[in-house]
Amino acid sequence: MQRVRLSSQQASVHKLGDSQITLSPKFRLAVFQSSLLNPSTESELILSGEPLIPGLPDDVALNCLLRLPVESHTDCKAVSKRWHLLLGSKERFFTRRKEMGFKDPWLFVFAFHKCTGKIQWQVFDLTHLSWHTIPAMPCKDKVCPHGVRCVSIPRDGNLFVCGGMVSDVDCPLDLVLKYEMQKNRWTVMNQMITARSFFASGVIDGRIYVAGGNSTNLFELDSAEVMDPVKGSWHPIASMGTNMASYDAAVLNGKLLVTEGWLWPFYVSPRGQVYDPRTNKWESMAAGLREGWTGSSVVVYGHLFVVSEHERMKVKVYYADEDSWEPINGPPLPEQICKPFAVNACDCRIYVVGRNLHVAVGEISRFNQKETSNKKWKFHVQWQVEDAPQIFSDLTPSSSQVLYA
Amino acid sequence: MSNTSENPNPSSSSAKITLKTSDNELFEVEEAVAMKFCTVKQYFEDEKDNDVAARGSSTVIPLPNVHSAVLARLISYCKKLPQSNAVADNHEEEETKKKERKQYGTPGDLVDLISAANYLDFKEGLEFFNQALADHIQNKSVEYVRKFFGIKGDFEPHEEEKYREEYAWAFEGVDED
Repeated sequence: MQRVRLSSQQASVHKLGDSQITLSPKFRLAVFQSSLLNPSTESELILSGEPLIPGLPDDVALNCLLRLPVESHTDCKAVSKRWHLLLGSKERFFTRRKEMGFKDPWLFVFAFHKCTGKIQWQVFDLTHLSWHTIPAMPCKDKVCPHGVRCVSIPRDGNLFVCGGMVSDVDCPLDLVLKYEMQKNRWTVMNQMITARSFFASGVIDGRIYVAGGNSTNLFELDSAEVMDPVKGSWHPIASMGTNMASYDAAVLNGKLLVTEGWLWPFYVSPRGQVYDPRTNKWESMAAGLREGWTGSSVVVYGHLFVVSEHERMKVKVYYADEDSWEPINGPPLPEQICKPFAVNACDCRIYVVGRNLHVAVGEISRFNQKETSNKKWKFHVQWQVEDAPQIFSDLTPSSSQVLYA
Repeated sequence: MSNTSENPNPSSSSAKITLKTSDNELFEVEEAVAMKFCTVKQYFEDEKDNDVAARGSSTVIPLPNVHSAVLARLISYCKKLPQSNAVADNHEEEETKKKERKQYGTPGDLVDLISAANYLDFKEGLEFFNQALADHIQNKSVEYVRKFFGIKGDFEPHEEEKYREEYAWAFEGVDED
């Protein structure tokens, strides 16, 4: 589908220079000219002896106030100066939450307007089941909502948006952006060595791997690279050994699994490659794995699951020992969730975001079969649908990530 | 009774511990319950080190910072605690927990309960009552929250006015106080 390339024109790589990038202001708070927002006032306020909550030590009061859902902040921050300081900016609030060890999941949905194609992130608070926005990505170019790859490091509360292509011109990007939940801010990172769209991506041991994809010169790429977000620069790794765009990818047992997926008219079996960062080597994917990989994958309980790209299908799980897939127990994907899907998982929950941003939360449980002697886990899913507000009825999801904050 | 003297294990379920509150009331509680309060546990262990004989119901542990009314509620909450400390794993369970938290949401009491749970170093209780408090004040008006906690609005009049205007929309749709 997305890999049918009709353009015969060779477009140059878009290097996103200063002219095309608007950085989000580093100190958003500085725009307000209020003494309240001067960080030094916090210590002054503490010294003045005004407690956050009368009768409670500040650490205990903080432990309570940091549980307030974001939607109640506008109201609660008008209570007192110290409350205003804590709840007045998401940055301060989430930094404090991190310090106190709070970790609740948030579902980040990369969506676009179905008519205008305008890209936006919508954030679903999975604890309080409410929607929020984050600042717009700092990229002036009209980026095509497809072909971009998002990866995240959930425990750090960071997500990365890599590559993609410019809308209407068939031109891949080497752009990399980072969003940090604790700072509520986007940062432009070092570009990838190679501009790519529709590539494979995954995080292994805190490093971001990207491989293959569509390049500028109408060919699919063979190359792959890695970035350590702490160091920030990209380095080449072994090439895949085959030029291929990625339909889907997953990280399973410390390896990056890349499949090109079935291509119309389905004459040839899809190719698939597996990268092991310990040996820096690629090998071919088992036939059963690549042939049965017909949707978006997630890894739960150390097993690879696929949510079919078709509606109302059952989730299936891959068994490596048998090189085969089996549908899991429980009902199929709820009918309210329509194509296209953006799928992700955290802990033992699968999140499937459908058209209009309705979210299906699938609780996966596992059990051992008693009658068989082998230790083969069986899985069961239970779905719950969270309807999105009416205002999202023009939005289509493209990707989703889970972050903890 | 010879059983208890032979078994020096402080976690034996039959043993009772006496707690004395700030208003001089005595509470005889099961050891398993009392051990949830880390402050009591620590005191108990220190005592044990000092004098092996001074154990069990013979010891009265003073809790000068806790009122009897508060302790009674903490103990009753403690007894209802599930054995496993598992996190709610589905929405229904979360809803049940929310309802349960609501029962404790009587104004004023929560701050006392949190304060006592903090003093007693009672982790599950602190978690529970803090969440109950957060549940209680969300969607409430600024006036309500200030009154609830006895917080004085310390904004300058012009700042106060500014926030009122800025967040005028946020004052709609708040719960009835």
